[in-house]
Amino acid sequence: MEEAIVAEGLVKVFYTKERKSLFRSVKRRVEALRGVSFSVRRGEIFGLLGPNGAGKTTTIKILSTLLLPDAGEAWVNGFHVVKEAPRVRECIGVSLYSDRGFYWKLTGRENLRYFAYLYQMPRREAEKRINEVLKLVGLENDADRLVEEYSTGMKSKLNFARALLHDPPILFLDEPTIGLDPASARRVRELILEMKRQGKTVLLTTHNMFEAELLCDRVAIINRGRIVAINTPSELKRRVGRNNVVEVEALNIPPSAAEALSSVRGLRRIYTRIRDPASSMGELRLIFEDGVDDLGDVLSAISRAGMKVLSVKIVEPTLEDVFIELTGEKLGES
Amino acid sequence: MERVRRLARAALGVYVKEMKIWLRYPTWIFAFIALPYMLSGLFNGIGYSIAGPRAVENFARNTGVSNPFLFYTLGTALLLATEVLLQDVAYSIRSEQLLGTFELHYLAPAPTWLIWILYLFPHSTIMVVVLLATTLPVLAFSGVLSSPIDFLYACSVLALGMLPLLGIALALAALVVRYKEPGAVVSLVQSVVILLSGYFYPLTVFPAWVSALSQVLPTTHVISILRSLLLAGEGVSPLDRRLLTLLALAVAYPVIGLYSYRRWESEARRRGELSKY
Repeated sequence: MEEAIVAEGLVKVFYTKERKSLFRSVKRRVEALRGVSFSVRRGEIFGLLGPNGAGKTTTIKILSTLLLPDAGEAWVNGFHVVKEAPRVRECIGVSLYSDRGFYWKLTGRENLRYFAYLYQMPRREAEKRINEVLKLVGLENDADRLVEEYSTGMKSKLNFARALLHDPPILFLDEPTIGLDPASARRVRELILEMKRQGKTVLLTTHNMFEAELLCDRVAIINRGRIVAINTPSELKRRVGRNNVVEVEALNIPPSAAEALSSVRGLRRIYTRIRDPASSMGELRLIFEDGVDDLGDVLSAISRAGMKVLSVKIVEPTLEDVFIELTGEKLGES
Repeated sequence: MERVRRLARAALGVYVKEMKIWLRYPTWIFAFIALPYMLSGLFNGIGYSIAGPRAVENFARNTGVSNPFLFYTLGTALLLATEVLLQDVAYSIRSEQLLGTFELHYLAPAPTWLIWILYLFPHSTIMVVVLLATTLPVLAFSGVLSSPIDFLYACSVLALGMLPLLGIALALAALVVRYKEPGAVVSLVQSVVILLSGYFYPLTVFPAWVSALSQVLPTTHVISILRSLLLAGEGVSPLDRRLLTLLALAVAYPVIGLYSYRRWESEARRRGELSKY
């Protein structure tokens, strides 16, 4: 089988209770997945990119047998995720939380040893593998400290080590760098690329477009339980078009900036990102239909709206531009 | 055979992990060893304050045992064993939920219900050590430790009595998986078990219907058999009605418990509740 992971029409509905008062609650139906289909080739890093609540974690949980789908089917390494769940578990390594899921009163090594036994690894093989993964993630010198003394970055590395413990061919990583400082996040990204070099298949979820571009061979953009596009990052960005994106750094960006600039010729979409709320300093990102006709037209419209331009650049589109293009929403909005 | 070997590795993992964690919180050991003596002293004090100088005489007439200290120490030690067994699986699951490790067990190939049952072994080891440390000196001092064979027989009855408790524990665990709160239900069940097992009084003090109801509890039969063996020095035949009832409960309750747990577990996987805490 060429594909390591196949998902066909996955549907998942949750029912949540909304508390209206101390004694009154209303049941709400949440469609987490609405027919998600995709496949991941062996040896590739495949990213599920989408905002919080898009359905990324639900997808990973179904594929890792933790959650039963309401409809649709999925196979991991050729095994059906519902009918052959124990076989699926043998060939996947899963990292669900970056800093939870440890016994605080055990050392890093003892935590790994416990999970190695749960995976029913023979003692000698387990010890050898524990040393290997500890070295791989750079925790060999802290392995015998209690986990309660670990930093968030160290716990994240230990989490990664646990996912690799039984040397699975397929890895599921849910937001692997969330909450990490830049150095730790960089190290985790290096590890993910190292896994690819070792021939492993990696399915990762992220809402970090930079991470998705840097790591993924292919990306599925997911929003509100639906996959809206799947392709390589460069092909996805081609949808927006080169020379179609203008980034303007400005001061005094008003909330109505998009309306103020709507008269600019050829402008398809505009969104803002405020960096400093006190001075309303940030970026305007303007996406044009077919290249920028007249930058002067853009600058005068910005000036008329009372903004002060700091810099103007024609830039390469990002995956966030693609996401906005496809969904009409920003990554953080859904 | 390979499957058994693989499961044995999982069992070893749970055993070593739990023992390490327990031994890194060592204060409970002293509490467990001291509690039977302290509670026994408490009950004796209450008895004397109510019945006065004739307390021991009354006690012997009502229970058939002349040494109240021995009676209460055995009762308290058994109470502790029951408490640990009943709450162990449920509280272990709750603790795993809070640590974020609960869901991770479902990613391993070993069946999870078996893993939760395995949690009982390290704790049972500790309980056996505590029970022996607590009751043996009292029994020896009181001169009723007649034969080592009787004592081994008593230990076997105790082990048999723990099996139905395991079934109840799994049913309680199912409720924890669903409702994430072990305290209320576990305490309620424990209270019923303590009230109706007759750890601290003969069940004849209750109306007949209460005594009849108590027959569904394994602990009622365990304490009754142990008193016969250790306190009254009576032999208990393998065909004794109490022993046969205990055997039947040891088969029925684990089956019911396992069924309940697996049903709730499947429901939790459907509702996405494995990760909620």
